[in-house]
Amino acid sequence: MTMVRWWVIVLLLAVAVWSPVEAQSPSVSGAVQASLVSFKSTTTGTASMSGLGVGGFVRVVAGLAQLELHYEQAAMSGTDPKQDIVEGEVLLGIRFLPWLTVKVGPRIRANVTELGTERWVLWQGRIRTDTRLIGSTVRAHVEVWSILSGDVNLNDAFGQGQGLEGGLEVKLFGAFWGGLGYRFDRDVLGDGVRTDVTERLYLRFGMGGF
Amino acid sequence: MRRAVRLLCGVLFFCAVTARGQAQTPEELVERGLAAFTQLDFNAAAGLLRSAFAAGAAGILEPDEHAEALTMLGAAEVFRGNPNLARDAFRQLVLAFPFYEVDELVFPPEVTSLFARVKQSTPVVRLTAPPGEQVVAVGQNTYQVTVRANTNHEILAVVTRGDGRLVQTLFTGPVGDRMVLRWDGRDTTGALLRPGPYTVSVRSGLEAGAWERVAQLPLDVQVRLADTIPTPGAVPDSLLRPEIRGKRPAYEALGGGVLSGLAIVVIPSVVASGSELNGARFAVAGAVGIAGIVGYFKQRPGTPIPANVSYNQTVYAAWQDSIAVIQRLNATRQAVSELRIRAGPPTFAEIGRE
Repeated sequence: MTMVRWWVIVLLLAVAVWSPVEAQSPSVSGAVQASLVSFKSTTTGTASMSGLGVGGFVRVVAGLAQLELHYEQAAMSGTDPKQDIVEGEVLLGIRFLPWLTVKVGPRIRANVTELGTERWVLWQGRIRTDTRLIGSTVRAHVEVWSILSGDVNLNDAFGQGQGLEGGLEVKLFGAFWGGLGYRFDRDVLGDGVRTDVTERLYLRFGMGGF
Repeated sequence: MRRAVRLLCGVLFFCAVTARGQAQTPEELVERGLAAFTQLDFNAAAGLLRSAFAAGAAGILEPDEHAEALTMLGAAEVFRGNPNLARDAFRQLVLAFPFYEVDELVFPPEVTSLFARVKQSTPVVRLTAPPGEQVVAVGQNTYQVTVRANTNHEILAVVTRGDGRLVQTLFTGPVGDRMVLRWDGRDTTGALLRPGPYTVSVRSGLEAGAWERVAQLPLDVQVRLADTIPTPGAVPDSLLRPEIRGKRPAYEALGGGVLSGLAIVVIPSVVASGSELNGARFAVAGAVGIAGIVGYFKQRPGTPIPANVSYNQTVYAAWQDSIAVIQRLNATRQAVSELRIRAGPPTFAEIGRE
């Protein structure tokens, strides 16, 4: 937890120093999304679960600082008993350059079955890059992260984790835009006792922030 | 010896008398001439008055005495039977005092009728300017000069610059007793004047296509232009957008798209080596990469940017509009510019004797 605390302190200081007061009037954007979710865990052998996830996010931007809230839940099939995956994220970020943003915050994943619920609380440090591809109508982004620390309600302690998200967004009409993207999470317990890999292919429909 | 003394006395007396006569002033000559006229000694009167004017009486006498002396001279010549000399005297009288009238109760008809004929054939005008400095608000009021004529005749009234160049023709045509010339403070093209000396000239006495006399009024004109707004120059570059694409957007799109696509494909494979990943990332990476390539071709360096061209045209049009507004505003302000005109003493001359 010590490392996460330092990340958060550094980021908050950066937000305070870098965000000019006159640029603090916040703007809000958000999107809903539908995902094809694929989940593999070494506890289930090579068999994988898949399902359809729905969710969305809200992003509040004030000057160079931003706050993001993500939520998604997916009903998975392919294993017995059936399992739902529910995820939520809170990310505090600061845009150091027009194309570079650094974020930090917790991700909470719950794997819900009839037998019980696994809860993963994972503190992430993220780096995001944005690129304009066609004027102001099409842009791409790639975001990579590493888990700084984690807490799991299982017998084994959290080991390590990484992830990536990338995709493109297209301005549709007015303030609305659509997005296509891919997300990949890899979370490891202990020294590799268990590895969970989650992949998502998502479509988003959003408003604002383009 | 006695004869010699008498001769000497006679010579001295003659010299004294002669010296006294040579020392007489023009006023005294006029006085004696008028006295001779009243004693009906017209020969003496004519001689004395002519001597008086030859001695410069015209520049010394009071106007009334001057006019009376010329009248007496003309009348004396009439009575002596010298109509040409009489006409010449009356002409001098008319030129000096165009509005003078010979008293019909004092002089017989042969005198008054000759004077009337001379006056009729000697058209003269006099100019009168408003006193002091006159302020003319251009477009609102005019500078006015009064023309008074001694007889009905043709005149030509113009304003000229100090160097003699014509500024504006104020009037051409017949004038009766009097008329008012009005000048709007502009030249023939309607342009405002520069400050400096100007002259109102009225020519009269058209004879065989040539003017015989000119009355002039010198004017000192000061111009106070209303403050105007400076006309803007060219549109500043800071207001314009580039109309031709540079290299950066194209290479940014290509590089960003390709590198993002590669990252989406490679990073999960590296991080999760040994795991079996699905092919979704290839679809997304392909879409990102293709979008980057499309972005490169759509934003190739050197191609025009229609949106910016249109935007700049709007800026240029707005700029032109603002210039037109300023020009209209300045024209309105210039229209209320002021002229401050001060007239000098009027002059009169016969052309060829100016």
